[in-house]
Parts: sequence; C-alpha cells; structure tokens
Amino acid sequence: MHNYKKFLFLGLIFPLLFSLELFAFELQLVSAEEGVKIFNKDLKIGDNNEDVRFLQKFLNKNPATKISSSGTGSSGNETAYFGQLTKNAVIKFQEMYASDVLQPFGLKLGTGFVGAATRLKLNSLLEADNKSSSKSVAAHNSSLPKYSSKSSQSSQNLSKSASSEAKKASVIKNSSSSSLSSKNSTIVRAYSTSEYQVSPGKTVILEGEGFTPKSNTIHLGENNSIPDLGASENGTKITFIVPKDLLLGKYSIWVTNGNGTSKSGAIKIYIVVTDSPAERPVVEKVEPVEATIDSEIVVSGKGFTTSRNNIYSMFGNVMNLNSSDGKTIKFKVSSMQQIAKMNTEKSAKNMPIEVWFYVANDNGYNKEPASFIIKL
Amino acid sequence: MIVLNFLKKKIVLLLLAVFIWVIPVNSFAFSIGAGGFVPGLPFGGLVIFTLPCTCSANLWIWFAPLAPLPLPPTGPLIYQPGYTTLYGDFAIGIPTTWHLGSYTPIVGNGVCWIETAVACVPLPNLGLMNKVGTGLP
Repeated sequence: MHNYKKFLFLGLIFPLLFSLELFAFELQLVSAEEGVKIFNKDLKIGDNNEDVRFLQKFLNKNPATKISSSGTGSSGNETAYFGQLTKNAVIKFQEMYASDVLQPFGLKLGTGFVGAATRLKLNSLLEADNKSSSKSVAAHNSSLPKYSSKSSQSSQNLSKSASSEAKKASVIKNSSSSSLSSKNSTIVRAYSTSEYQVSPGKTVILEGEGFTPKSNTIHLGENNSIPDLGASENGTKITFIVPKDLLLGKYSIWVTNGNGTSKSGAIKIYIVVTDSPAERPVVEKVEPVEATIDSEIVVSGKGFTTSRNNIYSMFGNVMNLNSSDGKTIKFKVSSMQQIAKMNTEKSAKNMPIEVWFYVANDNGYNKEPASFIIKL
Repeated sequence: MIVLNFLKKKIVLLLLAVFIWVIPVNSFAFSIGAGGFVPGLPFGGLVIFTLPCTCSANLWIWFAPLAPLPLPPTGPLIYQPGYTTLYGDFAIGIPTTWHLGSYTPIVGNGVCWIETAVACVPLPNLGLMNKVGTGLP
C-alpha cells in the first residue's frame, strides 16, 4: 500500500503538477501576446482592421507624421481604415527613417506600404518608447500602445510561421518565384520584356509580379495604353501585341491594375519600337573561366555596340565599354567595386565565387546571365 | 484476485500518467511552433556581402562559409521582406554577422531583380529564406 501511494505521487501527482506548470506558462505566453501589441502584418491602402487604428495612433504621436490635424484620423479620432491620409503619413514616416526603411532597397521615396522593413522600424520605436516610459511612473498615463519584447515577438512569429510555412512549396521554380515575393502584398512590379527592340504588330511578353488575372492595362509612354489584358503564370506574365499604329520610338512601359501601378520614378524599364530591331547582346564565351582579382575578362559574343556597353553584376557595374568589332568586350575584375571590397573578407579567401553579369547596351541585354569564377 | 486488481489499478494509473504527460507537453510544443512540420532546408552562414535588389525590393545575401550540404560552401540566398520571418538580433544581411534559418531552394533565376538602364534582370541564387535569425555584427 505504501508503494501504491508512492506510485500515485510519482506517476500522477508529479506529472499533473508539471503539466499545470506548463499550462500556466502557456497562458502567460498567450496573455503576453494579447496584452502587448506590435505590428505583425503588412498594411496597405484599403485595409480595414484594428492594426490600422494602432498605426494611426502611433503616427499621431509625432507631429511630423500626423494623420490629420483635425477631424477623421486626427489624434483621438483614429479609425480602422487605411485611407489616403494614412498612406501620406506612412510615406512621411518612411522618408523620415529612409536609411532604415528605404535605402536598403534602393528607394528614395516612401511607398505608403507598411511592409517588413517599415514594421521593423515601427516596432523598434515602440520598444524604445516603452523602455523609456517604463522608467517613469508618470508615463503610465501615456496613450502610447504597448509593445512586445523581442522574445514574445519571436514566439508569435514562430507560431505564425508554423502554420503559414507549411503551405510553401519544397522547391521554388523560376517564374513562379516572383509571385512568392508578393505573398503578403499586392505590389505591382514590371521587370522586363521578352524583346527589347520590337517591330509594330509583334507579340511581347512582359514579366513582373502583382498582375491580376484580368483587367491589366499596359502603358507605353504617357499617351498609349493597351487595356483589358489577362495575366498568366500566377500573375507574373502578360502577353500583348505592340499596336501596329504605334509611332516608332523608345517607350517607358508600366502596368496598372486593381492592385495599383508599376510606374515608378526610380525604376524604369523600356521597350524600343522600330521597323528593324537590332540583335540583342548574346554572350557566347567568357574567359578565363577561373579568374583572380587581377584578371582581365574577355567576353565574346554578338550584339555588342561599338561603345556604351555596360556590365551589370552583383559585385558592381562596369560602364561605357567599347567593342571595336562588336564581338568582344574586355574589362578588369578589379573594376567591379564590391569585388575589391570582398577581397578583404577573410572568410571569403579561397572560396570559389561565381560572378554573374549582364551586358546591356542600346540593343538590349543578354537574356541569361553570363558568369566567371573568382577565387579571392 | 488481489494481485489482479492491483495490476489493473496500476495500468489505469500508468495510462492516466502518460495521458497527463503527453497531451500538455505536445500541445505546448505545437503552440510555440516546435512540433511537427518545419518546412524548408536548414542553413547557417556568415554574411560577407549584401546586394539590395533594386527592382524586387528584397536582399541578395552572399554567405561564406555556408552550410550544410547540399548547399555549396559559399553562395547567395534571398531575404524577402514580408515573406521571410526574421528573428533576433535582426541584423539581416549585415556583413560579418552569422545567420541561421531555413530556406526553400530555387531552380533557375528569379526572385532578386536588379536594375539595368533598360530593364530589370534576375540574379541567380540558391534559395529563398523562409525564416532567419541573426547574430550581432
């Protein structure tokens, strides 16, 4: 009987106590997440939820990012709707913290879209604000919404990722990868056209993301548009025919649809409409295959222009290269600015690094990236 | 008969104990995302260089060294704001910081698009980060 009681304690009471402890800890986590508030999802114009109200309250704390001085959206009159006033305030906020929010992505102007970088900045400011307010008892009356610590944010993200990531594909294939990048947003972006120089009446495929299944409008410059176009491959491709009556010339190309527009002041893509399209650059050979930082790279192929051939690579661009025969271009590895920088990284020593690059000129650019290997 | 009753009680208590142990522990593990399904492949590496993908608004991050297999000893992965879950210490893509996370391999080009004078072009990469935690610079 004595053994029976011992067994009862070890086998039942102890696990029960332990599980209650765990349960209490779980409750603590849940209440921590409920009691504190962070920005954990993207926000954009048209959204209508409590996160928007929280965002408006936060932006109203700073006179420079106020939603409005009076009326709807002003301090004390925040709403759950993300309208133009909220977007304008978000733009001001993004431009105020441009070095953290915009510059890492090569952007100069705010977008008004509250994505990961903007949320990260908002959360870090909330955290800093909370730390300073927690030092002062008087600050308890502050209307600033509470925030979560990094640890509670992490647990929130963990549980979120457990459900969302189960949906991801095990391998991402080429064209569909673009749609993945817009999982949490509906940003419209146009990247490139299947042909750079094209004659009127020809079929062209525009590649990008955020295209809607139908009702996309392609703009060729300010005065020409092709409406009601459908998109394929998960909203990443639009096929259209260059109007036969379109005046010859170089056109900036962008898309508008229900998600917005791909028109951007910073990034522009072009198409040249001509009666005699030139052959786009084609890279056939790159020598040496394995290079050092002192090597000269010889690119052989066709479609090069006698001057103004530009090399675009992840390690820097090399501009205004000549090609007297239209078949070869030469450049020094060391002229790629970032390569020289990487040369000082000890962990990169003797590592084979593949340097991918494109040749772009007035004829267009090579479709597939060319490459050589460098060992630093 | 007494022995049999005692054994029966013991079995019931054992089952109860197992039930009390297993259910809360498992539900706790599930609630923090540690249970069951962790998609993608693991990776860890030291950042030596980061390129902002100017057209696609994400980051192309070169690691050296990079591990484990089947990854090569060095190469680029993509950090996609709004898609990749970022954990502390939030020093994403900063050179000399260690990163640890999971990624989904990419076949072909795509995801990171950089600007040229005439169009955006895709940069090859090894995969898209699903989640990543970083050290401090």
